[in-house]
Amino acid sequence: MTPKEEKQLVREAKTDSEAFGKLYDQYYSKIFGYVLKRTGNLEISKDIVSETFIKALKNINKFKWRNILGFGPSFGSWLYRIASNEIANFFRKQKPTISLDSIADPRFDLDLLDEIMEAEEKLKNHQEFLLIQKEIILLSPKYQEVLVLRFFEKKKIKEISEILGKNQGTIKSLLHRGLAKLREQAPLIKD
Amino acid sequence: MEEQDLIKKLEEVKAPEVELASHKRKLRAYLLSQYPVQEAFGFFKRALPIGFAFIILLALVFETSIFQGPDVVTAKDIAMKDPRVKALIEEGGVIKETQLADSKGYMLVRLDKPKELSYQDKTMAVSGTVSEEPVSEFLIEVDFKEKKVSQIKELPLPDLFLSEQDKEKITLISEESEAIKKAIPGEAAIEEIKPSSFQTKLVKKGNKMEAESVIKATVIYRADGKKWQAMINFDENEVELIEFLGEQEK
Repeated sequence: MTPKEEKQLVREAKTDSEAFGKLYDQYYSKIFGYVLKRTGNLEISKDIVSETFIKALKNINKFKWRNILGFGPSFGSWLYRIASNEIANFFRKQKPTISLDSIADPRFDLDLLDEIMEAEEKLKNHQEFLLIQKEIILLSPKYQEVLVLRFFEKKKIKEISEILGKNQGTIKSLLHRGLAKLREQAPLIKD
Repeated sequence: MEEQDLIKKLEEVKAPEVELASHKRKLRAYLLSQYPVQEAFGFFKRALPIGFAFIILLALVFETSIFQGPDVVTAKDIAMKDPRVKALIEEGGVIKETQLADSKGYMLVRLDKPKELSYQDKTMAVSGTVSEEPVSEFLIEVDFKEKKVSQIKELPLPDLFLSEQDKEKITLISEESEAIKKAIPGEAAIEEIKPSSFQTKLVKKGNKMEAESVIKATVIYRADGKKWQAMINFDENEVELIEFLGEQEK
C-alpha cells in the first residue's frame, strides 16, 4: 500500500467501515508484534492491542495526516503511538482499561484459548529474545520503547521520532542511555 | 559487554512473529460493528453550541422585549423606528456617537455628501481630491420613557476660523511634537496655518447632552523647496497626521 493509498483509506475510514477494515488488516500484525515484544505476554498483548484499535477507531475523526509538512505522525506511527501509550497505561495501572473479554463471543473463546496456548509454545522457542525482553522490561518505559522499536521492530531513528513525537536527538540520547542501563543491569546477556 | 557488542546482539536476536488469528478476526468484527463512528461525548459537543445559542437568544428576547432600559442599543432601536431617522440612515447617515443622560439617549448622526473635485498643483507636482460640500450633522434625542424620538436637530456648521490665540497654540503643539521633529527637518518653517476640518462630539451639560464642534488645523511647512503638512487637533493637543507633500520643481 502506497502512502497515497493509505491516506485515501484513512480519509474514507472516517465514514466507511470497510476502509477501516483494510487499515486494520494492514496494521494488526505489526501492532500486535510490537506490543508482544514490549510485554512478552500474549494475554496482556491481546488486551492492549484491542484497546489500541478501539481508541484508534474512536479518534479517527481527529487524526490529521500532517506528514506532508514533514512532521506529525503517519497513520502507522499514530497507531504505534497509541499502542505505546496503552502499554504505559498498563505498566502504570497493571491492567488495560478495556478488555475484549466483556464483549467476547463465547464461540471464539475456546479457539482463542487454544491459540494462546499454541502461541505460548512458539514463544518459548525464542529463549534468547525472552531473556533480553525480561531485562528490557525492567528499564524505565522511555528506554523500553526506544530499544524495542529500534532493535526488535527495526525502526529507523526518524520513524521512532515520529512515533514517539520526540526529536531525533532525544531518541539517540534515549537509546544511548537505555543501552548503558541495560549493560549495567544485564550481566546475563552474554556474547 | 561493550556497547557495540550489545547493539550487535540486539540486532541479531530473532524476535517472535506470533499472532492470534481468532483475536484478530473477533476484534475486526467488533470494530466494524461500531460504525458509524461515535466520538466520545459527541452528542454533548454537538449540543453545546446549540445550547449556548439558545441561551443567548433567550437573553436577547428578554433584553429587547421585556426590559427596555436606558442603554445605547435600546436608544438605537427606538431611533431606528422613527421614519425620519430611518430615512437619514438610508441616505447614508452614520451614527458617530451615542450617549445617555437622564433617561434620554442622544445620537450624533453625520451625513457626508462629498462632491469630490480633482486638483493639481503644478508648482508642487501634487494632485488629489478635496470635498467641496460640507457635511450635515444631526443630534437625535430619544426619550426612553415615551419610547420615541423626542427631537431631531440639524446642527449648524461651525465657522472654520482660527484666532491668533488658536494659531499660537497650534505653533506650540507643532514645536513640541516628537512626531513632527522626527518627520520634518528642524530648519523647516511654518508657511501657513489654516483650518482644515471639524469634529463634533457630545458633551454633557447639566442633565442633557449637547453637541460641540472642534476645529482641526492644517499646518504647512517648507524647507529647501520641499513641503510637508501636519493635521493638528488643538483641542486635544494631538498631531493626527503628517505627510510629505512634494518638492518644488526647479
